[in-house]
Amino acid sequence: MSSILYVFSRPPHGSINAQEGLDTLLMGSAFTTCSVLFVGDGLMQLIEGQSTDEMGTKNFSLGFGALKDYGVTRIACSKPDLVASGLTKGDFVIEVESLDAEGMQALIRTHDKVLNF
Amino acid sequence: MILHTINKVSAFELCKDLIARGDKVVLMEDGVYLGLQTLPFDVSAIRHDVEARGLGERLSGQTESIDYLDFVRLCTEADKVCSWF
Repeated sequence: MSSILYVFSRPPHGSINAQEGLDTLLMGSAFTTCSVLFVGDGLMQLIEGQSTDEMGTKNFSLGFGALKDYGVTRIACSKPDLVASGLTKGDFVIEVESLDAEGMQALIRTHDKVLNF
Repeated sequence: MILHTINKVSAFELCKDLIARGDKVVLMEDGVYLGLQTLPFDVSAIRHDVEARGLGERLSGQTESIDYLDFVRLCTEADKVCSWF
């Protein structure tokens, strides 16, 4: 079965893309080998301490803690985008590996399908 | 070969580090405006999107104009297609 790389590139609460992406990743990982790469504003999905109580929407960032249990193989982010964002890996709800351009290109190369959310 | 499609200018920031040497890039819809600049890789642009926006004579020399048939051919030749939007 095809392996899938999910690329998360949108910030978490401005649109439904990010939440749909996570749902799709969890669903995909029930069937096949999946990895995830956070790029650009997608890194903002990982920030710890998001609270959506007052907004009345779901704080789906808590769901990232389940990725390991779902068998998601690689959990990575863009190193250049991490540096540009001013965040560090310590700001994130889960542990991620940071990859330079070459590492990210290799990640794309080694998966059969790439889906951008 | 990996084929990347870009359909808006802002999507370029997302994918510029993800495009490897030897990959192919197709600009479409509002992404064709990127064809005005010199990019760090060879690109093609969908002709009908280019013409609609009046960019026909204005594309950088490296940007090749292609039609839908060429695009379909590229898709069939590619190992995978990555859509950046």
